[in-house]
Amino acid sequence: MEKFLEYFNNLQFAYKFVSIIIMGLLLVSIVLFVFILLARFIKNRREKRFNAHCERFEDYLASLLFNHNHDRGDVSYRSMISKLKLELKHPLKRKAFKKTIFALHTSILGASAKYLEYVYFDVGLHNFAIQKILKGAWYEKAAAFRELSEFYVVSKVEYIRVYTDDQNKELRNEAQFACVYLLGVKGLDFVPRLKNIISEWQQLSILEQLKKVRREDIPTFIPWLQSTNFSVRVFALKLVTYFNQLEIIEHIPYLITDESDKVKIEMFYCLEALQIDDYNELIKNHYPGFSFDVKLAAIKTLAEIGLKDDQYFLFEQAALEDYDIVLQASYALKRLGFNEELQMFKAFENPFNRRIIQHALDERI
Amino acid sequence: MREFDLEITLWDVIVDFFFAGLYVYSIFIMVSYLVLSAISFSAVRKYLRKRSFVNYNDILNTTIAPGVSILAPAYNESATIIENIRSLLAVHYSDFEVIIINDGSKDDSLQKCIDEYQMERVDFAVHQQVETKPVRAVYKSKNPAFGHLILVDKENGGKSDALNVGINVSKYDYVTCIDVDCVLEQDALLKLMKPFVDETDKEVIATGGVIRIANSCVIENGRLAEIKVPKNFLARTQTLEYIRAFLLGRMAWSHFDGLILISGALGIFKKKIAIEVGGYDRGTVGEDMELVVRMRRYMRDENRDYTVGYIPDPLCWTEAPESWKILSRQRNRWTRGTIETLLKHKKLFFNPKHGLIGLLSYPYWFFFEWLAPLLEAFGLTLFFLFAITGLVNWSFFFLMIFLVYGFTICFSVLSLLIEEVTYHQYKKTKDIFRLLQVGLLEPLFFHPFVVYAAVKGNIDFILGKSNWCKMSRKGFAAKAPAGLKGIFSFFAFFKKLVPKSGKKVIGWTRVAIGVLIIAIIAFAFWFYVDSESSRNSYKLTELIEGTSNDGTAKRERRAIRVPKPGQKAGAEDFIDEAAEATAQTAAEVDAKGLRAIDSIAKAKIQAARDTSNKREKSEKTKELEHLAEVVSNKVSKSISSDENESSSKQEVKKEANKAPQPETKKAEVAKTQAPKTEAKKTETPKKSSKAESKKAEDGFYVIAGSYTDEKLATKRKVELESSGFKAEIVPSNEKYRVAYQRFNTKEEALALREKLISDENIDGIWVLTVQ
Repeated sequence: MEKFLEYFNNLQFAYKFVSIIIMGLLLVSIVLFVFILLARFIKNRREKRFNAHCERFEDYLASLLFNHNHDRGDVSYRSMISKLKLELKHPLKRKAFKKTIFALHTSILGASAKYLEYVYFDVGLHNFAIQKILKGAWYEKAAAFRELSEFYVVSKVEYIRVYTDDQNKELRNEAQFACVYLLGVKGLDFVPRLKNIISEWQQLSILEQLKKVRREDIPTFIPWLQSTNFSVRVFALKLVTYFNQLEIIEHIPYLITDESDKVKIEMFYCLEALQIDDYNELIKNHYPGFSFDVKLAAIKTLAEIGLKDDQYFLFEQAALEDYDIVLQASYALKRLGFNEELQMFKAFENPFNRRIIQHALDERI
Repeated sequence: MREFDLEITLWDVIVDFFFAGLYVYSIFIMVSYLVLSAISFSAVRKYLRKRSFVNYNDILNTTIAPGVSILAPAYNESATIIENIRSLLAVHYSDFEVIIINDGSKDDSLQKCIDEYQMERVDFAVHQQVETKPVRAVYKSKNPAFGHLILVDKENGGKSDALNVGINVSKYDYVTCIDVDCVLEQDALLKLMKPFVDETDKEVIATGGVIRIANSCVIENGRLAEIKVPKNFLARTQTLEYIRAFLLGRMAWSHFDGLILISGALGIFKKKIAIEVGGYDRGTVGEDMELVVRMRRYMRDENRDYTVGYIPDPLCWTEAPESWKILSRQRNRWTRGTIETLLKHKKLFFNPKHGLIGLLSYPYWFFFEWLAPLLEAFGLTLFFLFAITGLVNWSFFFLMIFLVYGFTICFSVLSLLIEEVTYHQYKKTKDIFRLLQVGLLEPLFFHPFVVYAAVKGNIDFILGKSNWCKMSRKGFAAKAPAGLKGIFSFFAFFKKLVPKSGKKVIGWTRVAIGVLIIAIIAFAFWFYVDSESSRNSYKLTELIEGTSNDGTAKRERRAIRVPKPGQKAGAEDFIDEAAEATAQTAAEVDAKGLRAIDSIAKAKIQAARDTSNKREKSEKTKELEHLAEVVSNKVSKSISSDENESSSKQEVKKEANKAPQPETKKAEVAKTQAPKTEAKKTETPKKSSKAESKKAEDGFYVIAGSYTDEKLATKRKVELESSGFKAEIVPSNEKYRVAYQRFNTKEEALALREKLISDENIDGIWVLTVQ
């Protein structure tokens, strides 16, 4: 050691510096590794405690659900709630209780589920959630939205609604979900006011959410179709399709001149889903001005809602030299039942188109 | 101009540049890794928080989610193809097709698929959007259960060509390229597709996911049932390597939107853009990276807002090579792919027009992915050459090695920590120890091999080798060879220690071997420190003894050649006239400047003597001698001041315990005379106390040797006396110096020295002033 120190002292400053860095790195490595082991140990211990709490709370809730007559005024119920309230001051216990009640709530339905919502409310967990909404980080707020919506704390929806057009995408999405979950279709009232773009993913997710709520008080989507936010117009078209809003169908074809291709494509899907064939001529008239993607969508739509007269237009397209257009037009003609005509048409076409038409006609593909 | 300013040769500059460059480069690369890992950690945490609010089942249940075509090229995959197709068909997604492209396999892969999945040939009109080798046939299954499956048979054209055929055959807007030997997580496609349908500000052109090593994992029905750390050393090392690369590297690049590599094993591309840029490049073996770079360039050129997504979740599990041979081929190919891509897109290099890609991503790949192994190999070769020629600065070498080793371990542990706090894939504590174990061994075995493979890749690239190299797979069901067999087989001399195939080597043996190797390195370092310390003490002694024995420069050179810490290699050359600059520079940079000056003096004396022996005393000789004299005087002064300093320090030291002692004025003066002597002066080893206790009489001594051991000094004194000289021992500056004679004036001392040099043919002597 003495020699090493002597050697070290005789080193140049730069060498000393590097030596110190090396020792520092090795020390950090040891510390980090110990930290890994320690983190594991702490995590495992915490998990054990957490699981023990969960099991205990599960017993509590089971006894509440099955040993009581779901009377919130019952003395034993009140005493159990008071006991729980005291316990839930502890963050880990609160977390365990939330997890347990969440799991139970999602696995049961009816009166028992409702009873669990009362329990959630009575033990005051909603107050913790509100605190998180007011003071927490974005992920804590988002978790609180989810919690309040899961337990139908409708009275607190105003706390959530203010975040439906928040700059933080995740927070905004969670708030929108929560509103729809708590208020059903009515909860969609944030949509026309949206300044931020509502992503395709979020649109699909909300539509999935809507499947779980009651279809009542469906608002009119006409103003939404005129929104300056293109994503709102797209979403409105999806909702029109979803709710079969045939009564507003006359407002939809105007969107054929919309500046956004996404809106036009969605409009075709809407017409297709609602089987509205009154606007085929309009589509064909505007067809030359469409972009490639919109053209393909238009042909696909005509395949579903096309009439006999549309075959000439489709054959015209099948004679072109664009693979995708020819294929879609051939599929459309096949779909509309013009197989024989298509076979004859194929014979007169060039080899390129002939192959594509044959491809479309092959039932195995 | 200072008294000793001499010319600096080009060689000095080169060596200096090399050493400094290596350090700067290494430190830069390490800092960049740390920065990237810090960013990655933050980004992964952010991602995980966001992900906790995503319900992937919503998209899975919907019928209007965008469709995906899964492209899986296969070449001679007969052993695993049926199992792998089953795995691909089991993927969780609402709308997809699986396109298996048989790239002209020579085995029975095609027939196996046809038989197993009841395939029949169909009239498929392949849309030739991207140029490819001819397609022989397209098959679809007669069984509706396999309705998603398309089998394409084509002429052999390589992976890129096969993928291009897949693009031509696909019907959906998004294509994903998956190696058929990979096992996907059930929600892999959902996660990879999310950025395409969730991003609202920019157009997503591609997304990539994390690949993990599946060796030793339990695979059931094409699904990952249990995650385990591979038993095989090579595969285990790659596990750690993949964690570092995917979790700490690519996530950070993705955070900057500077990701230019999406692994060929798993990635989704927007088909339209891929076609617009011409599909996969058939002329490269790094087609995955090349396509991403080309798509990025294209989007930038078109002024379109775009991004490349990255999912840090482990989505795909692949089989890592378990033999050095296959690993070498793989790394060789990766290297060639990187070079090809970088050269093909060289216009991106520091091109501000391409933003972050041009200014950061591309240069990073150039300097740290392509050049790093080359520089490493070059550095090691140079060190080897320097070692042969005796030019190695061992302090530098060991510090460098330890720095790199320390950093690698630290970085590996950091990656384990981040894996632990994020994904926690390896549940058993034993697994963490196993990964740590490879973290300790990796820099010694795996990394040098990877560097070797990368260098070979560079050579192959220069030689124009462009094949893919066969990658034989064992399949997940195959039993992994035990433990360190791989390492042992790499080092043939360990072969006797190799356990028989299948016999398990216990973990502790591996740990012991690792510890042993580290201990050997540590011992080597300690030995060096020890010998270096001793060498510094005896340097002058060696010098004088060497010259007095035979007068030849050979031994003297050896003595001088040994560089001290900080002294640059090549100092022996100062005996030659042209190398004076080297010596001077050495003196300037030396932490123990005094000894260096000492050496210079001796060397110059020797040089002068040599010159005078060969020729008549020319002007140059005189000049050299004069210079030597000046040097000698300087040494004397320095040593004198050194002694004064030592004695004053003795006094000062008494009060040293009270408070930290500021530099004395005297020390400052000494510092100006010999700038680098401070470090030496501040140390007061116990062994010197004996020497210091004896005080020499004031005057000028002609010194014939210097020893730390009194016995050696006495021996020398006896030698001198037997030669007819009057000799005495002068304790000075922690040494026992053997002097010929004491003089009252310096001139007398110098005259004796001159006489000894010229008449007695004895050199390496100098004058010590004691006051």
